[in-house]
Amino acid sequence: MLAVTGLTVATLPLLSTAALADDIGDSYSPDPLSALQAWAIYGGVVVGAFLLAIVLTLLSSRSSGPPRYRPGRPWSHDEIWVGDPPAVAEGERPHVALPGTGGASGRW
Amino acid sequence: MAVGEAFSHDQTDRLERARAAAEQQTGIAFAVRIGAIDGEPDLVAEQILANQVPNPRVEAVLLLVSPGDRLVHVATTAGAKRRVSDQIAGLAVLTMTSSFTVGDLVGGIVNGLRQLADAAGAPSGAHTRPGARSAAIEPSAR
Repeated sequence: MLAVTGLTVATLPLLSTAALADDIGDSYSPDPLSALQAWAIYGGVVVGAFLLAIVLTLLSSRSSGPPRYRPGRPWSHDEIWVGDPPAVAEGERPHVALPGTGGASGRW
Repeated sequence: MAVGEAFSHDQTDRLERARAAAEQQTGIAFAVRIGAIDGEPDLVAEQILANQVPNPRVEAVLLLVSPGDRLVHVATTAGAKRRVSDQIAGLAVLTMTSSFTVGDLVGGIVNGLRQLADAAGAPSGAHTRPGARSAAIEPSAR
């Protein structure tokens, strides 16, 4: 409550300085903007906002760690084992077949 | 190959917990391999299983998932086939591909493992011989 009161007291005079000015102009005598100034202000704000968003996006993607697999993209990582991979002892020839196996396949 | 891991730590942890739970629930050795498959999936799976288990009577199930080829294959040893039939494996494949279609790779594998474990059920006395399983496929103490 005290903070709100303090802020109000501090900002009200600041915001009302325009009203205290001798000449604030009127709708019949505006200080006209040139076309270049208008484009610079209204276009510049939009372009600047987009550029800011792009820069922030690039920065966040760089700082988000190593690239993860995204579904639908080609797999470009090494194979991953959940559970232990098959171990072939050194000098031993790998087996090539196991009789009687079953299972099923599918594509998506 | 891309720099970095394909999955986050949380995703890897989720997969490992699902695999360990399936193994604990059934007594069957489960393994999941995610990556490119070079050759026919059933032959590749058979070769991997042949190097994972000492003999065909050992109960083991292998899930091969190739996201790049959009292919999944469930392979069972002759020992595991009695509890995880080809029909059950086919249903698990269907469950997984349903999730994969909407981009949920990890969720699909977790659901597939759960479904296979539920279908296989608890181990009977004849199948609960941890010593009979290959040391290479014993669940690690992670």
